Amino acid sequence: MSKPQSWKFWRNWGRNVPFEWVRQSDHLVLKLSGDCTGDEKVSPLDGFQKEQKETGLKLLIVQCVDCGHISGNFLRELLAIYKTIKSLNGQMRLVGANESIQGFLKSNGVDRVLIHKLSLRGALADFGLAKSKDIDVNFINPFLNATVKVFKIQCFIELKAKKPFLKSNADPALLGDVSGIISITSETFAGTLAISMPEKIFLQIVKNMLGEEVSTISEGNVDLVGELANMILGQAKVELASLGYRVEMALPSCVWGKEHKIKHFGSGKCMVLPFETEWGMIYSEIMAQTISGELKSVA
Amino acid sequence: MKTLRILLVDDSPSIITLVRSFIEDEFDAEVFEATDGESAEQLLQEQNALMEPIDIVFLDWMMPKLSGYGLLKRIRGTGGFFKQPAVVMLTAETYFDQIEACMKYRVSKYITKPFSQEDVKTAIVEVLEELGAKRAV
Repeated sequence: MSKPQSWKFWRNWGRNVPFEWVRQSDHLVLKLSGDCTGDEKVSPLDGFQKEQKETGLKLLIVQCVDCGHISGNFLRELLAIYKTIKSLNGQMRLVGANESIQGFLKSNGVDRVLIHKLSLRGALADFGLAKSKDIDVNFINPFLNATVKVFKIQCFIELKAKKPFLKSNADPALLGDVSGIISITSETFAGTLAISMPEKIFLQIVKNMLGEEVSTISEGNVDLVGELANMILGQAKVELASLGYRVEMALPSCVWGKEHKIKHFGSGKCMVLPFETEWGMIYSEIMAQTISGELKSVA
Repeated sequence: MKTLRILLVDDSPSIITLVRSFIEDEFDAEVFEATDGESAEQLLQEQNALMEPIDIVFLDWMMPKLSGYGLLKRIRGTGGFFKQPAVVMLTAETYFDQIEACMKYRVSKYITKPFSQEDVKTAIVEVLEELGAKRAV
């Protein structure tokens, strides 16, 4: 697939027009912001017809960027676009609508027509376009940045990132003595994140955060490593969103003991991000697998 | 008697210990704890029944039994709380729409984890200013 053109194409010269058309190589995006009243100087339907005629594209994502409200008039415009797309054997998805807009669509009985997806990636997967844009090396950067940030702010520990490497999921042994594990779900992939470290570093973290000198990992303090995994995923979510992924979090779990093992969710390969600290190495492990079941390495 | 009553709700006991230490360093407050939304709701109701209502709730989002967001909706939805506590979300959930959803239920402050002592202090100071302004009116 060719690289998206990704150039913005403004056609809305009128004031207070809360939308813009963006052309990609294989689909169109109608970005909505502000309140969409349906009284705009430029009709979204006219805009679509012009874009469609010039590009031949028949896949449309209506993306709510900062859109608080859609009026009945504007909804009628969207439905007219939908009808046009259907007549062309195309597809249309709505992305990122707030609870109020979703409720409005449902109350008008059009939620099964204007199908809502949480993320752009989810919409592209429906169009059959996400496959070639699946998990790539950029996917690990949010986790790398998040791990460094969480350890710096919450644990007062500076991490030095080392070269990531692949680990087979057939080898479930974690590299530390204590690990926090959290599952990751999204519309297009599922996986797990684990943060693993030697006892020495964990005890240092307990000391730094809670001011407690403890000599061993115990039921009373091990929850901390799960909480760190939770925070790392929470921070990574923000950066993942800019790549088009929306992920949901689950409750973390904690495992400890020499040579403990975990079974990552799914059967994908596992990327290990090593970090050097003053007291030794810690590791973030990320395993992700596309929902379709087709494996795609993150390397 | 301590004048400020704060409830910490988080399924991580270590995070509760951390936030408690941050608060006790800076404020003369009575600090209560709960590790899930249901027990927190019970504690809020008990304190109300004792006529010693909680002033501020620090609320995690992702918890077993009842989530922080679920508890927030119950707090704001129920008529059972004769004094509505101020709520500060303290959570790893970072999406804008999640923040926006909480704001609809009158959250005073939304702190994302990782967090610092300054974040906690600032939140309490702002809530106290807010409460003071309301009392003055």
